[in-house]
Amino acid sequence: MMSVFQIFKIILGIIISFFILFIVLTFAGSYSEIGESSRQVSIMVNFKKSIDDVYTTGIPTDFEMKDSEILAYTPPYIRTEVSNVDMDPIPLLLVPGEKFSVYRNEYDLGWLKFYFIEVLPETNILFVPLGDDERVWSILGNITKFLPSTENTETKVKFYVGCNKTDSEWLYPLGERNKFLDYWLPQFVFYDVEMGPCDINEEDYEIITISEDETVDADFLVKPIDGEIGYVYIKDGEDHEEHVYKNGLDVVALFLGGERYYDYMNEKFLKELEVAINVKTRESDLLMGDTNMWNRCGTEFLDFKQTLTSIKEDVIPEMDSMDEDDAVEFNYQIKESFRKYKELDSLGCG
Amino acid sequence: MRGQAQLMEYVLLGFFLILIIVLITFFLTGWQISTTRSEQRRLIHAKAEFLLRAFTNSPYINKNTYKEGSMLEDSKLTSITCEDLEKLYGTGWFAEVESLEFDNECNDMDYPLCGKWSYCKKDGNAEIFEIPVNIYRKTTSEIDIGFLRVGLYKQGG
Amino acid sequence: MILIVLAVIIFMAIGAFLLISSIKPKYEEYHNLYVHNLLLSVLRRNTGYGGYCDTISSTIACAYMTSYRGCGATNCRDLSNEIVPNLIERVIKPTFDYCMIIEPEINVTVGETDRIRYGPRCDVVMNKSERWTANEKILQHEANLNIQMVIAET
Repeated sequence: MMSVFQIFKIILGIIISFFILFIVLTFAGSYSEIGESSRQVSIMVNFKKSIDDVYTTGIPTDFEMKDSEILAYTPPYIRTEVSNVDMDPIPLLLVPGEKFSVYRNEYDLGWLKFYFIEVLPETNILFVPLGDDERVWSILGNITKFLPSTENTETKVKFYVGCNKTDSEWLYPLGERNKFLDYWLPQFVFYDVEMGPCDINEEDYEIITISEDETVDADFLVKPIDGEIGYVYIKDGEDHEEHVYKNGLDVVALFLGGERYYDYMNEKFLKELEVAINVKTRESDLLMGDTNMWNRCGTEFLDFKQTLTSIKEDVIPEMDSMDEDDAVEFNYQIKESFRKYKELDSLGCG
Repeated sequence: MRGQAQLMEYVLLGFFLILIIVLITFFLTGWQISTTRSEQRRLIHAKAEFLLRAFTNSPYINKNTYKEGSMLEDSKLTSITCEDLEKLYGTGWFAEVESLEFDNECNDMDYPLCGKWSYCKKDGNAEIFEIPVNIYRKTTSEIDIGFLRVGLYKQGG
Repeated sequence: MILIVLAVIIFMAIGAFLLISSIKPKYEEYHNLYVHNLLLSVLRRNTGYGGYCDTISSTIACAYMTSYRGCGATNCRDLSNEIVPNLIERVIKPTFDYCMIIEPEINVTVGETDRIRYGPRCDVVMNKSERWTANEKILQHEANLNIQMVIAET
């Protein structure tokens, strides 16, 4: 028979064992959760750093995330299981995936360079240009300029044009952006190659249909008015969402993420446009105060300033609810400012 | 008596075991705090490096013919303001550019014979990072040398 | 006995923790950016002399290739020896030591010497385990020059 003391030892031993087990399990549980969260946070921190580096240096890179950490991108936040990562102040177009190409693209107006980052997984982009109007091919080139060049990354964005009129399953694989723009596109334009609708497995391609006829049945349809502006129609069930675009960047934003990306990029671009106008206007005033500069470029500075003021006061306020006329006016003023800046630059005052 | 002594032995043993476990808990918590602080410092450095690179490559303040960057144009430095830079790069920092040649603050009246530009500076503790840069004198086409300083305010400024 | 072992383990763990917390993190990227910008901005600066000695980099190239050429009241070798270290010392942070090495890209003796070095404590800098380096090239007609800037904390 056990003594009281032995019973006491057993009970004390059990109590202490349970206590130790409880502490160990509690900490192990919370630390493994913290460990996993830390790993995800660490991946996102490295991802943001990678984007920061590409934005500041312009050197493209690849990035890989296993297990698809990114749930969604609602600009400017990348949503993960653990947290929302704020990507401000960098303008970012991102399509979720696991292996990405990170590329800095730009919209160059001479006096303003709008940099933005494109993060895309391996993508095949198929252009379906319908009709033989040169505006169709012109906007095709404009859209391509605002898509990433992946010549220097392992993750590729490849371009295709289709489909052959006699064989609706045949499309032309034309490689990556620079070769497509510099070599293949001029050939298609020169030889006046006509395309027809495609009958292919749509899962393998992201399709952009370009046609002057807005009744064409397509998920993403671009209807050009001229080489730069027009309408985008995005299929939404039985209906279509209609958007005015003023340049290839608008089309790319709509293509990659719909109205949300379009509004976001417009907001970013307009913010930088206003900053650039303020800076260039003040700079022009400053330089006109120098006798040498005034003698060299006085009239050109005044002309340039006038165009910038016109963009700021007449064009920008209309951008929120832009219609076709506003887009035409915007492009006209932007081209004028570009031309006047080139004149200043040629005189050594740019 | 002997029984009681043995009892006390075991109670003491249990007490020390629990004490050791509590000490380990404190140690692990301290380790976690230290790791978090270290991570915070790393993030501050990452932000500072981003701002330094952003300024030395920004088309808003650099001369566009120098692709390697770090050629800040004096007319652009004088024209850009803190509000403009905050729209581009957010808040919680300040920046200064200082030339070797002139040390007076630049404004419309003193330009181009000036050599100091200051953006978004206010009172508060800040961690400062500095790199050498070139300053392009627009009116004379001369290339000067100076410093770019970026400061990150503690706790968002 | 067990208690003693546990106590020893705990003290060792505390010791390790204190040791690891006392190690200063190395901010490699910032130092690399600093040395790269130091070299680039020094080389691009105008000297005020014009001609063969318009910038620091052209003065260095002249000093190496055709050191007899005149710049101002002196020749470009003497001018380079005077202004380059002086400029670097005005720009570099007091907490850093530097060594600037100029040598031809291919191992040929062109001009007067194989290599030019600027820096008051080059040997010390080059022997430091923790140092940061930037490289630039000056493209010249007969021989390209490699310029290397090495910095280390004092």
